[in-house]
Amino acid sequence: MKLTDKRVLELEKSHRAMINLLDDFEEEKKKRETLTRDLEKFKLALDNISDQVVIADAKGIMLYANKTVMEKITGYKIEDAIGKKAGVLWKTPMPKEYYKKFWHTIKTEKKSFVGEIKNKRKNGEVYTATLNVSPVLDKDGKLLFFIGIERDITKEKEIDRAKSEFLAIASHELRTPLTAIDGLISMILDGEYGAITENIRQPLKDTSSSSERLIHLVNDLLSLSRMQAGKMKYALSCFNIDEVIKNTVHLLQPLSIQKGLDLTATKLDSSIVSGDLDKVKEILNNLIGNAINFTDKGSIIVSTKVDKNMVEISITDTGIGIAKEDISKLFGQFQQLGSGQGNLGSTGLGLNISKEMARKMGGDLWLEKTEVGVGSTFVFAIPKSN
Amino acid sequence: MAKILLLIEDDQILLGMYQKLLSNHGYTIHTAMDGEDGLKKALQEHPDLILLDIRMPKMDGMTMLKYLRADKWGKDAKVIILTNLDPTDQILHGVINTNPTYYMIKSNTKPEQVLERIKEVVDVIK
Repeated sequence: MKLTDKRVLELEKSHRAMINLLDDFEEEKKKRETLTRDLEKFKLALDNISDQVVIADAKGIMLYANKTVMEKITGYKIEDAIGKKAGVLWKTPMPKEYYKKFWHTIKTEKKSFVGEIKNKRKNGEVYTATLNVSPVLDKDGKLLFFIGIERDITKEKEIDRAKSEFLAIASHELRTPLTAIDGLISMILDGEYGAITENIRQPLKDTSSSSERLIHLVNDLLSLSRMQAGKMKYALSCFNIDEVIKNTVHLLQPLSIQKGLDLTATKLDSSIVSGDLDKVKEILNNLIGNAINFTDKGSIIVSTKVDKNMVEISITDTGIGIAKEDISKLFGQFQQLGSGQGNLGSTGLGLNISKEMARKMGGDLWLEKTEVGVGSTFVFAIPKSN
Repeated sequence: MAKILLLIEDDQILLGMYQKLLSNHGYTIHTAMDGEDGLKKALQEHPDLILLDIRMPKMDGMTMLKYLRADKWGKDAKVIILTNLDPTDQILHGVINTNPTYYMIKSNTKPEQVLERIKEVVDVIK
């Protein structure tokens, strides 16, 4: 049988198609092998990191967890976990509001939730973890699944707590002898121990102001340790901010007069704000006190600006200003203490505490502007009462 | 007649300091260096005002105050808490219910300010 030219062509075509198909198949096989290898590497990597990774569907049912880490942190076997809700399995002892915020952030706002969580291990022990849960969306913005990363920080928390407790006891024990030093000098100066000669008055005054500085520093340390130990309590109430500002300015007036400075409160808005009254006073006291400390001549002006949700209190001084390289260190905890910048010591700590307190009340504190030799403006924002 | 103040303070130096200050200003001072002795003297002597430290040996100030408030005379006795503990300290849990007249942090209060508060409290007593 003789093949026609047409038939030969057809056979060659199908032969080429077959070869192409085999090539495609080979390529696909290689791809799959690479993908499998990659997945294995990925799985191996996930099993060897220290953070727990969980993937859950839109209802929070666990689809994947990195086996080794999950078993190490929670004590549950992987087969106990898959197909169950994370919160239910770990009997998370968190308040309802926490979950409300959690689900609202990841499901409604479709944003990442970052926070701290307390979970229970299989043996009932409670552990603390940092949690970062992000929604994964398709190209149309539809929720596909969640990916959560959890880091066990129980040990770090315990160390922090012990450190803070130590700091609190140390600070308290420091206060007692300081009370005696400061009180006795004050009584000597007031003539409670009889008349003193004039040449001894100034050195006694200097000793007194040094001990007062030490007391302030110890108070700062105490506040910081309480805050770190989570002991600082906030009693929120609503009050008129302009009265608080006026009272604080009045209280600090003697200090500014002593330095020949003009301390005034202008353009005050009589808004009702929401916050802890004592903490607000402490923040204002700290900011205005700092302004007085670092201003040798000129003025300190306290004013307010109101927007929709916040009252912004500005404290502007004509003081020494802050050098560019020091701005980033301004709100740090202990940087200034070790940097040898003279009396900036207690300030760094005070600002750190004030900022923390402002934030805990839903506000904030920042350096608005500063120029060396010209002065600085700090702003403390506090939420308006609804 | 001089007003009687009972000073309960475990730090010898501070005790001497406040004693000197208050006797200079015409008050009769009785002292105790722990809560147990302080409670005993308070119930025996019925002072016009008690100045009370909190962290003390044998019996702390809070426990002493609770016993004092359970007494017929002690329930209305004038007490100024003079301590170096912050009001948020764990030991001071429930301090508000013990009804002190003033709460002062020693390190933040000059002796003259302590004196002013004392005058304010006891000078109105006939």
